[in-house]
Amino acid sequence: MKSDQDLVLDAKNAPAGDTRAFDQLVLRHQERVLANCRYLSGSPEDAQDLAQDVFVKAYFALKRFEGRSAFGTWVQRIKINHCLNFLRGRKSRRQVDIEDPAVTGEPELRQSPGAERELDRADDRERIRRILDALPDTLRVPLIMRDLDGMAYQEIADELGVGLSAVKMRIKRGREAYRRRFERIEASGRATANPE
Amino acid sequence: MSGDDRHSEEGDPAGEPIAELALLREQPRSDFGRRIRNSIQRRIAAADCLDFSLMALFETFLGYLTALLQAVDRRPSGGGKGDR
Repeated sequence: MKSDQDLVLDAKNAPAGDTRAFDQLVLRHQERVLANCRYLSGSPEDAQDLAQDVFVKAYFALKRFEGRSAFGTWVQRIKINHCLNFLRGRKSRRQVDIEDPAVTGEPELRQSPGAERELDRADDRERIRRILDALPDTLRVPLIMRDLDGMAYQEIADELGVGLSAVKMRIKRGREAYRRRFERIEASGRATANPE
Repeated sequence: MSGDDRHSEEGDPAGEPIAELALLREQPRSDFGRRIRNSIQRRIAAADCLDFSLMALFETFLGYLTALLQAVDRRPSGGGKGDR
């Protein structure tokens, strides 16, 4: 099986419009890119289009790709920029500040027991999905950039245009909020399974 | 930005990473690849059209310019030194 590096070379040398080598790269990376777009944007409806745009951009930028990093890392950079632009451009969604009491107070945790039981019935992936979707952008985006993408704190700070300490704080709060929700759902599930 | 980088910051100041997030994957729609290919082909076609239009415009302009210069060159002048 060809390496990503070989496929990139093949894609670069292919005549315009011949996407066979690039198709292989898409196949290898599509699930991860799609997951990133899904959780960075917080929008399952837009994730497919975002991921599609990321690969189209990557195709046309391939000539400039010098191979100093892995293809996946390079695509990640395109994806982060694209998804952050999408988030910035999304007017309808309420932007929540990190200091907003709504964030620090974790209002989403105050779900009805029924809602939590419903969450518990879902499989793990669906549970993670729902927990992440319920997090505000200010916590979810840096958390995804760190724990899904594995980006360094400084890189995240540069991308988001906020200070390093603010990024660390957001990620810390994001992780705490995530774990609290997860534990509550687990506890709710145990209570449902053992009603006495 | 690899797994190495993930572990490079010893004693993560923001707490322990959520391991399951690194494994998240999403299944694309069945026509995901086809849509990407179509989008690429559309953009290539649009770029070709633009190239062709610009080239045609340039060629037309060049044709007019050449004709104009020839017309000026052929025009009889007042009999100056350069009129030989």
